[in-house]
Amino acid sequence: MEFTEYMARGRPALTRFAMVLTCQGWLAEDVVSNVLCRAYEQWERISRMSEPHAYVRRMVVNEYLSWRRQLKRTSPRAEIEPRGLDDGADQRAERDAMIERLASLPRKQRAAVVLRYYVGLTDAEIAVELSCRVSTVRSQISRALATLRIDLTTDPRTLQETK
Amino acid sequence: MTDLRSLDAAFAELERRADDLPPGQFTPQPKSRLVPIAAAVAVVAGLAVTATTLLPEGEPAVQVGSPTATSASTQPPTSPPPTSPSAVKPPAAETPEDLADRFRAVLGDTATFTISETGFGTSISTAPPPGQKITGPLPTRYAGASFIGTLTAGGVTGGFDLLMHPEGKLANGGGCGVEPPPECRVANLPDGSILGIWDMRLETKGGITYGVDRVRPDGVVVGIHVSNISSPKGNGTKLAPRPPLTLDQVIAIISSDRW
Repeated sequence: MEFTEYMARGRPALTRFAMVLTCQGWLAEDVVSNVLCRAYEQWERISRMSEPHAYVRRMVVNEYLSWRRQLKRTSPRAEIEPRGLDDGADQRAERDAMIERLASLPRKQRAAVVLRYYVGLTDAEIAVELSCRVSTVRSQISRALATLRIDLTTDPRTLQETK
Repeated sequence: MTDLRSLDAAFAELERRADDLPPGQFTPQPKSRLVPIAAAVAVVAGLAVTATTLLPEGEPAVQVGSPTATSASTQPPTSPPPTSPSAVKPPAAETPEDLADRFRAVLGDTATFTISETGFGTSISTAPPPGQKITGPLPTRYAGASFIGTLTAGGVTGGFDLLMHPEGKLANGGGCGVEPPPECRVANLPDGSILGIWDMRLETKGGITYGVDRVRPDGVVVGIHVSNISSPKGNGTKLAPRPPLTLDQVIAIISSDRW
């Protein structure tokens, strides 16, 4: 696959992923742009991989977790502040509150939650992505869910999984 | 308490906001304008900041800092930090040894340091002309010098990194980049240099890193990070409750005329 073809296919999904991960548009764009710039230079090698997109997505995670990004303490900006309430106000309020809580998570916790519940990776796969132990992943997700005020026992998917 | 449906709704809303973002600036075949990519990425085993810029029509791109694993140490400084201005500035250090000599002269008796890794200060890659396929790594040359290690002052030891190279541009926003992030404060020096001043709290380990990047009018860049963590990236061991130097001291060091 040519890089330009990957760009056309993969960039929207990468930007969405980065947006969910960072909760900030400017940072999502920044992370994706920088990752694509580096992927561009390494594309001959990346394109030969069995799953180039998974590799580039991992680059996004690493970029987000990398030191300078880590130093830049991201704080909620206007774009994640609650928007106007009209029809469906309660749902919007709850959704925006959830986004704010998501944005307030420490980065590794947020990355673990996004990889688990947005990407759908297993704990073991997340451990590989984040270069940590499975027990650490579970701990990160558990703490994150507490901060997000999510009770898995009330979730239909959880009930289905436990049947 | 809520359930995962709220999280799904949040993800969906963030996706929608991502779709509303303006088209990205990156293009593998740059056309007619500079494509700055405000970047700061971790370099494997490396230091400092990586600033990547892809330039159009076969112009060079710059990537800063990537030391290789070597080892060295320095002797304690003996001369005081200079304060007098000078009209003519020396070019950027071309070797880690040269950079270490200058750093030692600038520090004077303020601090001592050891070096654990050294490397180049910047790499300059040439982008292909529009329409040309990428068939291998971009042609790259290297300039300047960098190193990381530990720095001790007033009985306190912390991690630091330092780089110097000649490929900066004031037009690119000085030390804070084209679009300064909230954590970067810009200051100007009488010689026309622009400082980017970073006061950063690490998310983990109670770490603090002070960073100052200076871009001189002649394009020479000097950048330093000083932390109470063994690596100013924020990784490694916490060595002290606070960095070995204050932010004002770090600013004074980078503002020195002895570089």
